[in-house]
Order: sequence, then structure tokens, then C-alpha cells
Amino acid sequence: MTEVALETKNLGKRYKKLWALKDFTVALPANKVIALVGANGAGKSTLMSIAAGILPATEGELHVEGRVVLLSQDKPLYRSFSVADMLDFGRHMNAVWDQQRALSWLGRFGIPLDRPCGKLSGGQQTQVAMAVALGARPSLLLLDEPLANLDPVARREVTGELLGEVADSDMTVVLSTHVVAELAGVGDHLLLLREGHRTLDGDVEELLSQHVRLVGPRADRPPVEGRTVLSQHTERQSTFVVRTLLGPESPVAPPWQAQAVTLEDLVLAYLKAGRGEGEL
Amino acid sequence: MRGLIWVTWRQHRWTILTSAALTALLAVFMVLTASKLGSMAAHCASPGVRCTRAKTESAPSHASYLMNSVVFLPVLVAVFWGVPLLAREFEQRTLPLAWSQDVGRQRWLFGKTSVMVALVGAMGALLAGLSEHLAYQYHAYTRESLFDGTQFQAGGWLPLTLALAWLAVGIAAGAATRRVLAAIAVVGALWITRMVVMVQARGHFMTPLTSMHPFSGTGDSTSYPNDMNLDGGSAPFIDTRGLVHSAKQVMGGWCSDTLTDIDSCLRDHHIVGTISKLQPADRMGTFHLIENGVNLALFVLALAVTWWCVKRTRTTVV
Repeated sequence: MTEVALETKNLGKRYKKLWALKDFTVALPANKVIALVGANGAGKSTLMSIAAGILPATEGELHVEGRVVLLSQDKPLYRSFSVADMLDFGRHMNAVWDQQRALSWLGRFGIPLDRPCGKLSGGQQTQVAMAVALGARPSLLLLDEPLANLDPVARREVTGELLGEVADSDMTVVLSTHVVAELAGVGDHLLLLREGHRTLDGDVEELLSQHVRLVGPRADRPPVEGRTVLSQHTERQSTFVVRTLLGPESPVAPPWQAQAVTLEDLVLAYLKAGRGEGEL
Repeated sequence: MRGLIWVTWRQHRWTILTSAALTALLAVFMVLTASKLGSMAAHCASPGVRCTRAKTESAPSHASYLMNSVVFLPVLVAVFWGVPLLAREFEQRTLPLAWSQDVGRQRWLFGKTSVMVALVGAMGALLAGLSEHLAYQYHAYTRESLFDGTQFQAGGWLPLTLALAWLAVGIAAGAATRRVLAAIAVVGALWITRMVVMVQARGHFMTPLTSMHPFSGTGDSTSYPNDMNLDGGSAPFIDTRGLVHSAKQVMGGWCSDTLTDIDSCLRDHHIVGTISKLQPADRMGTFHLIENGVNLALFVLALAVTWWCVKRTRTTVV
């Protein structure tokens, strides 16, 4: 049986009249990188803040195994502190601290220890914030849209190093984003949120093997049995994204074509479907 | 707690060092000035020596400046110690970082506030002790009442409790406004309000006594009581029949002619003395206790407001 890093049952959070999270039940597997995806306002930050214990839930239950560290989206640092001071801050403010791990992360990206954080570039500040988060030796590391200000190469480097950290420890990483391009090659597990509800949840490989894109002549229904996620039509052609048992292996008669979907396609299909786009 | 001491020191070290240096400087000046005033008072008490005892001489004048500085330091404590504790963190958006470590928000607030209270308390206690000593030496030389104005506020450990209260007010203003400049404005407005209210209220903590002061005509009196005079320079006059006349009627009417000798004018109108409202000297300790109590109540109230603000602060967005 797969170990669970975070489990919720009917979790809800209300801000005045607005429910940011409602009837949210999920069990996220341990020692994986979990991609938490959703549009702005979907409830990602709320879920992470509740999991980190800095925001009380309005209702429901949440269980987390071990230590939780949250790196919020603006990656706050004390601007007058040097990088070394920030590591001292982490050491003094946490019961458990791994100085070597934090130093090792900074060393990989060549961050100078004696420079004030306020004088570092945005990308370097991200690395310092990551080092402080990793030094706290979390069992569950919650990264709330942390890679937004990195260039694509640096982003790929960081995600690669993160995967290495997960492989070398028993840590689970939840990486929240609304930038679908950030997901490529990162997540083992996908959790998609929409308006405070869970829309899609599962192992990435399994989800990809259960979805197919079908392209063919204009039709009201797809040529295979399954749940239609998204349908788009032009005058002569229809395109469906369907969740079905055989996925891309689904047999279809010509002129229909069955194509595998990428993770980006899959996420976009669910996000578009949620906004009512592409459906007649 | 050691961790929070380190964090507080690292974040506020320049404020702490500057305050310590200022405290040391004030302490040295107060010791020197008090010593000089003591010598001057002892010299004046020698037989056959007549002294002017003028407040405008350099030593009493310095003492007055020093006592006023100590009385006004608490507002600087509020601005430079209290306000930045939370307001700067709100402005720089560093609270999510601080509060998401193992030290949660309530321990963070308790720890940092405790360190600041201890430091302000230590510096405040030193200055309060010295300012009380200085007030006594000032009184010994100038014969100004210890129960009046700056001398009263510099004594009875009031500078200590006032500094602690305004440290808490600064923290609360920062927590409530979340902006440094706005919090400083709030602190300034509250400080002025406090000054106005206390000047009016201080004389009425207890029901004042009424006392008749006859004109002795013997010149300099030998007793210099530490009463708090509530009439200022406008005490009403009393005549031989026991009738009371206002200062305006006497000094602004009957005896307003600058060519008339005041003494003969008062004699002509059968004025024999003044009636004054006062708080007697033996109430000074009680008044210090009352004002210290007000300060400590403000300290507790401000910390409660801070606690409530911190508790309801959201560190995330939807």
C-alpha cells in the first residue's frame, strides 16, 4: 500500500461568503513530486497554507505526516540579512536543521554567502529561499508557485535538483503552479483544482494512459465510449479529449485518429472544460 | 528562546546599540548634573550664604533638559522599537517566512516582544532611577515642588512604566496599520492626546484640598512644600471678612494700575491671603502609583490588541 504524505477529508475554507476550498477530499502519496495545478483563485495557496498550519480550516480534517515547510509564492527574505544570516535564521527558528543540505543547494547554484539578500537577483533569491526551506528537513515541502521568476534553463535545473532531493530522501514535494509549461518532466502525481474542488487526481503516467485525443469529421459524439473532457468543433472537423480505459490505444475506425495527449494537453483540456470553452 | 533572541538582535541591532549608547550618555550627564546640583544645594544651606537659586543657571537648566528628555523618550521607544517589530515585517512581506518556521506566530510574537521588553525595561530602569535622583537634587537647589510638572513625571519610576507602555503601543500601532509611517502617525496622535488628557486629569486623581495662604509679610519662608498647586498663577484672594475675590478681579481690576504699589493696593482692599486648591505632598506616592497603574494598564491593553491583530492576520492569498 502506498504511503500517504497528506490526507484531507471534506476540507473547507471560507473567506466571508466565498468558499476557497469546499468538500475537498484527497490522499497524496509520499516520496513523490506532486504537481498542484489550477487557475488563479482555484484554492492552491489556501490548501498549502492550511497544510502548513498557518491558516485554519473552516471545516473538515487534514492529516500530514512529519514536518511541513511552505515556501510561499513571493519567497520572502530579510533584505538586510546576508545569505549566511538567512541560514542562521533557519537554524535558529527550526527544531531540526541541516546546514550541509542548505549549503550544498546554494553551492550548486553558486550563490555567494556573504552578499545581502536584497542585492541578489530574483533567481538567486529563489535559491536562497529554497535552501532555507530544504535545510529545515521537511517531510513535506510545499512550493507555492516558486519558479515563476526563473528563466526556462534555471527552472529546469531547479526542478532537476528537486527531483534529486526527493530521490535521495523520504521527502514529498507539492509544487503548485498555474503555468502549465512548468510541469513538463516534473510531477509524478497530478492534482488539479478548480474553484476549490478537486477535478483530477492521480499518477501522471496512469492519467496519460487513460486519456486520448480523437480527431475526425464533424460529429456530436466521440467514436469511443468514455467520459468526454473537452470537445471542440470547426465546420468540418471535431476534436475530443476523452477519458477512456484504453487511452491512446483505443481502436477507432478511419478517418478518425487516436492520439496520445501530453501532460500539458491534459491539464489544458480540464482547465478549458472548466471555463466552458470548446464545448457546443 | 535563544533563537528568537538571536533573530531580535540581528534584526534590531542598530536600534539596540544606538539606544544603549544614548542611555549611557544620558546616564553620565544625569549623574554629573545631579552631583553638581547637590553641591550647589549644600553650599546654599550653609549658614550665612544667600543663593539666587535661579532655574536659569546652567546646572538646573541642564537638569530640566535631561528630565524632559527622559519624560519624552517613551515616544521614541514607540517609534523606533515598537512600530518596526510588526509594521516593517508587514511592509517587507516577511511574516509568512517567519511564521511558517517551527517557531509559530504566537511564540514568535511572545519571544521578540519579551526580548524588547527586557531591553527597554533595563534601560528604562536605569534612566528612571537616575532621573528620580536628579529631580530630588533639582528640588533641593531650586525649591521647585517635586509634585509639579517634569519633576513629578521624572520620578516614581514613571519613565520606566511609560517606556514599557509606549513600546507596547508602538507594536500595537504597527500590527493594526501594517505600515510604518501610518503607525508612526497613530503613535504621534496618541502621544499628544495622552499629554493633553494627563495634564487635565493628573490633578484630579483624588479630590483636591483647599488651603488658605496668608500674606505673612516676613519675606522668604523657610518651608518649601512639595504640594501640587492646581491654580497655577490665578489663585483667588480672600479679604478680612472672608469674602473671596478672583485673581482677575484683584490683579486685573483693582490693582491693575502699574503705578500702584501691589502691597498697598491689597491692603486698601483688605486682602489678607490667597485660597488655593492643591494636592498635598503626602499624596505624591499615591499619584505615582495611580499613573504607573495607568501605564501598565495601557501596556497590557496594547499587547492584547497586538495579540488579536496577529491572530487574525492572514499570511496567504486565496
